[in-house]
Amino acid sequence: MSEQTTPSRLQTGIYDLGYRTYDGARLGRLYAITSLFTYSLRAVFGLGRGWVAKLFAMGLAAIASIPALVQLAIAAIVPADFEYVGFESYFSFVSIVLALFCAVAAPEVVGRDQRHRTLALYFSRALSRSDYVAAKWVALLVGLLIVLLIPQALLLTGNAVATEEVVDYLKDNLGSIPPIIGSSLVVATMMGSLSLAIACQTPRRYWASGAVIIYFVIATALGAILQETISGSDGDYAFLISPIHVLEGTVYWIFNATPDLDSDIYGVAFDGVYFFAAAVGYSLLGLAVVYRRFAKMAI
Amino acid sequence: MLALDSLSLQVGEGVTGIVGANGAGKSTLIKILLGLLNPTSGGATLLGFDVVTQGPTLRQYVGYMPEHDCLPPDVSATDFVIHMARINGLPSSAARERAAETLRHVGLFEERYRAIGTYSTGMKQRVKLAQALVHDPKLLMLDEPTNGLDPAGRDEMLDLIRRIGRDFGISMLMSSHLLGEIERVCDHLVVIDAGRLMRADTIATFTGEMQVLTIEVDEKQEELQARLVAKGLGVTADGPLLLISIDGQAPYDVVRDEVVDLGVGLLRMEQRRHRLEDLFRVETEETADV
Repeated sequence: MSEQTTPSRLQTGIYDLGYRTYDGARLGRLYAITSLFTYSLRAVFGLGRGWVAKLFAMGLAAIASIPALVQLAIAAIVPADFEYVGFESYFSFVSIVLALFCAVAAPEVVGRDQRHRTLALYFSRALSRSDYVAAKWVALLVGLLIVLLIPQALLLTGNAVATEEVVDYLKDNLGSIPPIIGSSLVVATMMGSLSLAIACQTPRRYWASGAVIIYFVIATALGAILQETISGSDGDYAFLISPIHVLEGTVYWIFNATPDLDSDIYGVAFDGVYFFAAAVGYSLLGLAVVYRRFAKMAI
Repeated sequence: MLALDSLSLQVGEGVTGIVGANGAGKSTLIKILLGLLNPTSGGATLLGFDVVTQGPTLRQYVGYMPEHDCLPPDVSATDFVIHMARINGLPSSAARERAAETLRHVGLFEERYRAIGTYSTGMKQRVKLAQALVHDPKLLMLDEPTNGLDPAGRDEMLDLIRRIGRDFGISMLMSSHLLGEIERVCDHLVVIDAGRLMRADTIATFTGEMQVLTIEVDEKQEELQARLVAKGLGVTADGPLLLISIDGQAPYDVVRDEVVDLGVGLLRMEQRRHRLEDLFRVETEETADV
């Protein structure tokens, strides 16, 4: 026993420079929230984690850029004015990838601290429970925004470079920047809120991931099936229970565009603002569920 | 479930031990003081802040080491403690500096760059202590800090805690179900049982009451006991020993006179201190009677 303890005592003696008090700045609650936000945003992309986490998160983010890259490749080879992916239909191309990204990222953001019981350390610091939820929610939201905006930015600049009149192209398309940002914000908010609401219910990562995927798949399928089953134009309202259709409708509404002919929501019986209202409702509901979960949690 | 029942308590600076059996309400008390649990009624003031209404401000100056595991396994101790320091409001450069210093103080050196998952229980306990200490708190709350440690690790942890209390001048509230640990480290003692306060006092007062004079004679032990009782002393026999309670001045002269009078040989006479365990046992037996 003494053989084990002696070396460390010796080390303590050698390295002990005396305890120093800390009289420097204490930046308080807002700084604590932003620190947790940056830490969580890094976690969304697997930074500061193992290589598997990085592979999944960054791999999916890369896959979400494939349609944009394909469009750019086509534009480079075929000089003609050919649009394979428009901004208003970009979400429809990547919705499944985004759902998968949520399934990977959301449990990392809200499940990890429950799993390792680190919450006690956060809540015994200057953070309140709602501060914690806010930092986590914004982290996933910003993560999703990055995944959504990078390919669309690629699309915009790439298309501009491919045309012979770069400046003219940008001038013509300047108007699409606000709806690109607006629609991405709504998509990120709703998908982020809903997946956090589901993922925070369990500390177990795989259950949480599975539940998020199942929700997006089942609810979307259910909406489509109900729409087919219910006769007449009333059936169209069934799309409002499908998160993917809600977002698709919202994106088209924000771009003030008509859905593609092959889209499920082509020619729905109601105005696109209903989709937008539903997206806002789902976002608020999701956020409320997350907030409630952490407010009630025994530490 | 009632975990704490109308418990009123005042604690000063220094190291205070909260002792009680498992489930006595030690962790609940600490969690209420930290604002992790809300009391159904009543309140508390810590460092001049109200724990219910001024929780966030108060918690800037408090460090907490929970009883349970609370460390992510796939992060290094350095990264984790830096992150926790930032959550405490320390700017990045200060957080890095303080994390390195604090980890060194708790005895983690090169291994601090390794993932926490590879650590022994003793090393994890040190990381838990470091994250509670990194922002230089005015008050440290340690919930069963020696939990799960082997005897050597336990000794090292207690040494460390004593050093933090004495050398670093940080006040501490430490819970334990082992009185021996509290006695080694603390200046004050709070005894709780089944959510009720049994007693709160300084360790010195507790142990002061437990002064006892032990004597051993070669013969006529019972006769001597009777004579000493007749002189008004509280005497109990413990095998070959006679234990005389000391209330103020030790009755050496009385003992000497009676021994000479009886003409017996005095083999042993020493002043002894009961350990806290003995006191605690007496107290719990008394309450069991009530």
